[in-house]
Amino acid sequence: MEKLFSLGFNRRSVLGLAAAAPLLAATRSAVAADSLGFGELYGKYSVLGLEFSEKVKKLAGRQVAIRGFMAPPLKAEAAFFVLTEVPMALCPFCSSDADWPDNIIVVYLDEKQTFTQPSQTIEVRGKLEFGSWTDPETGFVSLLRLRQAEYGTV
Amino acid sequence: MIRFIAADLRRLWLGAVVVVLLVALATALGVTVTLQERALRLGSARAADKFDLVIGAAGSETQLVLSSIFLQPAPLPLMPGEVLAKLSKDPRVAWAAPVGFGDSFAGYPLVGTTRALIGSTVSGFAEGRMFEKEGEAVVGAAVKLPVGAEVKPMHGTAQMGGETHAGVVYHVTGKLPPTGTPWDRAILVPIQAVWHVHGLGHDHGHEEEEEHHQGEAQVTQAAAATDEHGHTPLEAAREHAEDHQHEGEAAAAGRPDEDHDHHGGIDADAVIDENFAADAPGLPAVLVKPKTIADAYKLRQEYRNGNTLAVFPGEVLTGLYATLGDAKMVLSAVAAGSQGLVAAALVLVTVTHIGQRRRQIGALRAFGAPRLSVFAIVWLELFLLVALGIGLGFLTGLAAARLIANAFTVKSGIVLPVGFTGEDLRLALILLAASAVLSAVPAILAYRQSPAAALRA
Amino acid sequence: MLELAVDGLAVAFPGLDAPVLVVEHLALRPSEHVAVTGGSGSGKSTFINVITGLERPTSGKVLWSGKDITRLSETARDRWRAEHVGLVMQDFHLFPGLSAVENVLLPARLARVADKALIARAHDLLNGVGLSRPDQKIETMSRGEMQRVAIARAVLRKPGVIVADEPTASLDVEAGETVGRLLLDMATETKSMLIVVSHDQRLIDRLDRRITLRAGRIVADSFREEVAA
Repeated sequence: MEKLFSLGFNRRSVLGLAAAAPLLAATRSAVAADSLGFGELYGKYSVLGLEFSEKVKKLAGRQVAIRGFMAPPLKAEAAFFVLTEVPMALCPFCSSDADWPDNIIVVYLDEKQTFTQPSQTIEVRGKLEFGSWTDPETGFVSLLRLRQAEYGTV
Repeated sequence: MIRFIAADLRRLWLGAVVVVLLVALATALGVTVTLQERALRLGSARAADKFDLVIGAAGSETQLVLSSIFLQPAPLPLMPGEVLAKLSKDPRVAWAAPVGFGDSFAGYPLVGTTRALIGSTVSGFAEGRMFEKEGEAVVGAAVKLPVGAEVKPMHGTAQMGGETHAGVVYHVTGKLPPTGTPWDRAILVPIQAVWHVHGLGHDHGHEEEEEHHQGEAQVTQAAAATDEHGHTPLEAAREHAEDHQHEGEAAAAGRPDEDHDHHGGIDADAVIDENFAADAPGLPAVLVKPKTIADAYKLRQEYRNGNTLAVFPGEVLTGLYATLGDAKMVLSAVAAGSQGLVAAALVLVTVTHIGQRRRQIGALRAFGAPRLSVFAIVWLELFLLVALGIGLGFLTGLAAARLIANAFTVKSGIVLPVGFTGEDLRLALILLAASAVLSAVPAILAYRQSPAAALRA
Repeated sequence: MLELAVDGLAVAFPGLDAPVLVVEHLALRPSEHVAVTGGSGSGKSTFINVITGLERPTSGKVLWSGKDITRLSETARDRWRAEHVGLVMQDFHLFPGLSAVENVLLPARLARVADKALIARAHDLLNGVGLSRPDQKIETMSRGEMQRVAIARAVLRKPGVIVADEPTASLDVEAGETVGRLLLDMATETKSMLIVVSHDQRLIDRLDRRITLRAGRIVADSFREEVAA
């Protein structure tokens, strides 16, 4: 009993399991998910700024997989986080003067949760969505999102 | 069979109670740790939820967040007032509100801020209205002061040997609804008033002011209240000094020379100006609401330079959660150790107990009780006790965590959401399954002898 | 109605040179009332254990109306015993915390055969053994009363054989007398075979047949003189 108990209370292992579970689930749905890279998000710069690539437009509403880094969480307990192409220390937001940087994507999860330290590469799978949208709860505007997403370390 | 088990347990009630209590305590220990850690995590996260970005002078991120969001009294370095002016004009910013601290009243921290911050973080008032003038204050839900009460701020806190600011009185105009954050215990005043009290912002002649303190005590409180706008700060200070005398709290006012000489006074009726110019006084922290997620990260990046520090309360808390998680691991290990001891004791007790019951079990079999019945009796008896202990342990753990959380809320204002989640249900099921298996051990042992041998024992 | 045939029976324990019980051949007729006597260590208890299936012999057959119970699995023997054997033991083996009637019904209830008729029979039996308070807790009873409850329990399911191991040894003379009489009455009523292991001469004298064991062997097997004569 005590062994199981300590296993139950071992935060790391639970988190490990919790992190592994969605990955397993993701592996199962791997066939359905198209992989997407940060380089493929936008097409050309126009006078209006960035324009989404054909691939993004084509994949909108579909399940996609994308790899990146979890940015320092904006909210301690939230149903979303920001996925960046490079770790935050490398300044993903410095590169562009555009209103919306070309190397971030907002990831919405099914449930609110707290996060662990963001330092590892993660793979996120979720339904791709683009266009300006205001989160009614936080009031935040975002341009590119993954919905009903799951993530796991790679 | 149930009657048989009941009779058995009644006969052995003392042992049964001890087993249940041991299991309950061991379970409760683990449950309390889990619930408390989660409650602290979620409670602090929710307390900081309204605030997205804090900008302060370069220094400790954790201290900045603890002071500005969780209102822990600690001196923060100041950054130039122009930062606020710049932020106010930034198109990426929905609102930017300065906060200033340092004073307290009756154990409640005084926080200088703006109407924009109050208006956009809480919905409406429980009672009264927003402050409109420099001498008005709004109190959090947990502050035991009625609307209309007078607040005479003290520099620092009473414990730190703070002194009352001579001649400074705020009138409470409104009470906020509860938010479950430390701000529930705060008295909110216009930031402008905080600056003036501390002699910042506009020019004050300290000498002059002191002279006025000596002035004649002719103006009554009523007269002061009916005074029109346009008082000089000096006059306001004088009137308030007289209020003190009228109320017999003349200590500070009566000996004005002992007043902190860098302190100024407020003009109770002055209109609040929240358009901050570049020459605003230095600030410990500015709370910022960015418009988009990208703006939030960009602002964070931009204001992380040599002089200022920008940080999401969320990221600081996430860092703290790792530490909290480690502490929980240690406590959980202690809990698991105690559970291990209890489990081992339980096995020992039951094996001995079964030894003592060999005859009874042998007799049951001799009289023809089927194997399954005998197994079920022994198994159920132990399992019922352990399951009861686990159930009781979860309730005790919940109660303990609630008690701790309530005490914490009273002290800090942070509401800790203590409650079970699916994860706990899973843990309970694992525990029950484990105890079901554990209980089967003596049940199997009970059958590993011929009834004749058991009867001879 | 059961009859017993024992053939080539031997019970040996590892570490002991001589077997503790050897019975070449023994036949008991249905409804026969038999006393088994012998000194301490003569093998009486082993004999009882083996013929009731509480213990498995090293070799030989125990045929109850042609069924060899030594070949049954442990579970099957337990089930067979529940159905056919009524056991009365020296120290009763009643369960404290339960009432008299609950004790009588316990084995039947655990075997899930206690229906209304059986519950009624339990009350009748308790009445029959002279106990008027079926709900009395067992631990508040005298030893004689306890043994009477044990007899009621033994005959509840009208077993083919009632086996009593020293039923009167721990009782005073008067209570022993009652218990002996009840055993015989009950066995006669249910037409059960009755096997009594006893030192109690007065009880032995009332039985039809007397088997004497010494050092694990039958040394005497006699019918009561009055009957034989």
